[in-house]
Amino acid sequence: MSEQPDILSSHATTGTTMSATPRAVWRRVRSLDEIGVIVALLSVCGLLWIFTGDRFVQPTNLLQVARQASSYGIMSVGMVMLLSMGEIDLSVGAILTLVNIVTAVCLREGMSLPVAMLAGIATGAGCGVANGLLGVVLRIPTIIVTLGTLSIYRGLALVLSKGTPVANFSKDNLLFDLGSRNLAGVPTSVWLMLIVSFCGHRVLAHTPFGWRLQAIGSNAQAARFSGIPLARHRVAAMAIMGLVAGIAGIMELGFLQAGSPTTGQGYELFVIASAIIGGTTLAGGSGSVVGGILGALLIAVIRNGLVLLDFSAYWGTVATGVVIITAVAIGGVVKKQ
Amino acid sequence: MNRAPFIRLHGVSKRFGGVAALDGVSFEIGRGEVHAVVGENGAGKSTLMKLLAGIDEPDDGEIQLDGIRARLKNPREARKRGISIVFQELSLFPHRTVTANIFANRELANPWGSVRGSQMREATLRVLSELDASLSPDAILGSLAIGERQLVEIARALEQQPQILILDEPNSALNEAESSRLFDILRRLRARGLTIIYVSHRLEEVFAIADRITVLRDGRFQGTWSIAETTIPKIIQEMIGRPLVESFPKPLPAQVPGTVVLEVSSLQSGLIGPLSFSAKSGEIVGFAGLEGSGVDDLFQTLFGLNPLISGQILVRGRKQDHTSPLEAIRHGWALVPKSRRDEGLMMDWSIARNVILLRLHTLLTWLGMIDGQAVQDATAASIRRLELGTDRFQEIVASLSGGNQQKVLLAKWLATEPEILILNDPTRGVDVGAKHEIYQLCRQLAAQGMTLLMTSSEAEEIVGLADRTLVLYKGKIVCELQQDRITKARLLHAMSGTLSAG
Repeated sequence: MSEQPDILSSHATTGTTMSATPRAVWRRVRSLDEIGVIVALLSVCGLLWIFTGDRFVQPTNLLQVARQASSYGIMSVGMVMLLSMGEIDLSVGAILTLVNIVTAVCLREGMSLPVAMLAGIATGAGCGVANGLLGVVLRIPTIIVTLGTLSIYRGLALVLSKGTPVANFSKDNLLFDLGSRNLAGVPTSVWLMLIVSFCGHRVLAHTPFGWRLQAIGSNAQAARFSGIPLARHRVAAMAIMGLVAGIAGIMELGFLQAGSPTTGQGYELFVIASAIIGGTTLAGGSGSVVGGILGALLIAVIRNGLVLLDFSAYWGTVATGVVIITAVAIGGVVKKQ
Repeated sequence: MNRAPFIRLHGVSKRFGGVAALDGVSFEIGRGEVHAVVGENGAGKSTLMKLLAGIDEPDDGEIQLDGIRARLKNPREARKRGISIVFQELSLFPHRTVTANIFANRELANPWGSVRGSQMREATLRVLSELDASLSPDAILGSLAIGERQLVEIARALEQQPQILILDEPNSALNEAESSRLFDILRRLRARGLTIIYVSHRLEEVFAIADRITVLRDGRFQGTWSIAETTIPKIIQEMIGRPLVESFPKPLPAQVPGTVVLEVSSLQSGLIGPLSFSAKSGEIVGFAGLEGSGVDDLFQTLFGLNPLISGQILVRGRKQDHTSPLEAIRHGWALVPKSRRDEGLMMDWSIARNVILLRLHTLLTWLGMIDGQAVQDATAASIRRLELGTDRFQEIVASLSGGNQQKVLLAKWLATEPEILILNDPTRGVDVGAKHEIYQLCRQLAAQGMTLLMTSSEAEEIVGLADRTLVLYKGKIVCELQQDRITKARLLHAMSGTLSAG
């Protein structure tokens, strides 16, 4: 066909090639999934710096903020994976509580620290696997399954602890030593958040498993046609979610120095919010672990700022809601331009 | 059947973008007749029906009802003029009852705003009995068979007491018994004086039910004939009416002698079968059939998407019993699905990601991480093969033209280096240039020894591309047409079940 070259050139792209002009850089920055949370985080931090004098930017205060973000942050890693495959887990806060109590009870019953921690982690991962299997076997949407298990796991934690803190065990070990301390000047839990998020980012963005999760979230039907086993991936992702919730649960135990049946209450909302503020969409198809961590930080910054500005802590809850909506809206507006 | 014209179309035109879907169509439909409108895909049948139902307005020309110009601005207006339409796709609410479906958006309510349930239920019973349908008005629609749902759809149209009933390919999902029942109903409605416009491409059935038949081709009116004075071959000629415009590449000399690769014997799955056929390496085997004839099901069964109930699939003499696409891919199968948007591509992903998805496991570093450089090289290689005309692999697939999207889809599946490639409508929604490239690609792949099984929504594509064609009708192979004996007319005959000899 003689006109073939013409047809091909009509397919050619119209844009210019990527170059390092400021404009191009801006275009790239603007297209980041995390742009909303970055803009929101920078502006909130800027405002706090101005309005609190230097109190906000004191290193001790900033580290405190990071520590507060660590529980949500760690769990948001699992949530970002789930959301990017089009699933969600409402039971994460309850898993955290259950793991927290299971580990504390194991210690109270005289088990060694490694065994107790292993039991806790296994509980978390097991809860996740149960969430996944229930959904797959009974053909129930994950949101419904985890709405049910949220209550089951929290109830089990209450049963095990009889509703009171579990504290009568020796705290003379590594967990409780490090749990409330700094390591190289940074709280241990912040280190843990960095490690978990690094691993999570590598898995989601750089392994076939991570890509396949996103493929399922982007187009489940096409994923099925592509030979991706949907059920297996769903269970695996739920297991990872349970695992990171378990890590967070043990971390809380180390920090609080006691198993608490009330810790973790309402965390699911903050964890989902962190992920969504960070640019992961509910619809699935892509997700940013880094964004989830930034989202958790933003929530912690706001709460911290309100305290510094002498607002009632109750306003923190209101502010968190405002921030979720604002950050997602900023992301949408900036990207649409 | 020469009564006073009831509906008169005069120079009706409708354009979508730059394309004329209807171009100056003029014809008349008499009161109380069953008037069939036939034509190929894209001939303008459905567009015309949408104008009559008030869903779209004509750009030019006018529609007259009873000699008076009718402006059908919206579906409500059309309904007021007595026109009801039964759509091609069933447009019902599966979770609601039959009554709720029939009265959807026309609920009867008392002055306080609550619905008159019993009144609606009675009306439903009445209209169902008119149709001789033994359905409960309280049945949940989703629990009904397809044929029964079709009845509900017709009941919904009839409950509005129309003078004109439009059926847009009403029987594409129906089996034989359900179709003949539908025809009984239509005859009875005609006897009551209803005017029926019947759109279909199953000519055999059109000839069984219609009084007159109008042919559209490329948006133009070709003529109206009384059924008594025409024949199926004449109508097919009017429908095609032109020499094939696409030129199909000739088979290339085979690089390897063709040996039998695939042997399927008495395959049964769902509504299809038993089916038996074989295919050689380097061969392009066409599968033709109307919607619902089972070609899609056959392809999905071969690829492990549908369970194989009985029968055998042998590849090079070895039995294959894959039950998932994953295993099928490992066994050297690839399926380029019909709908690239729903089944084929991750539309919000980049070209690179889509193309690489199926061979990720080959592009890893020793740590099990995806090797960015390897991904880039592999993407570039895949895409170069398809002359995509863009080197921006990071571009989102949704922003590409239909032709380029289809090439990305092909690249994705060719990356698995299959032995047997199934192409389900490989040029749907693709421009002419890209079409030709895809034909050439098929020929090249065949010459390299790949076995291709293909179907197309355009009959001439099967005629032009396939070395031989198996025709499916209601789940069974009814005949096999060799390349040298196939014509589009013969193929259409065979597809509509009126030609059984090879």
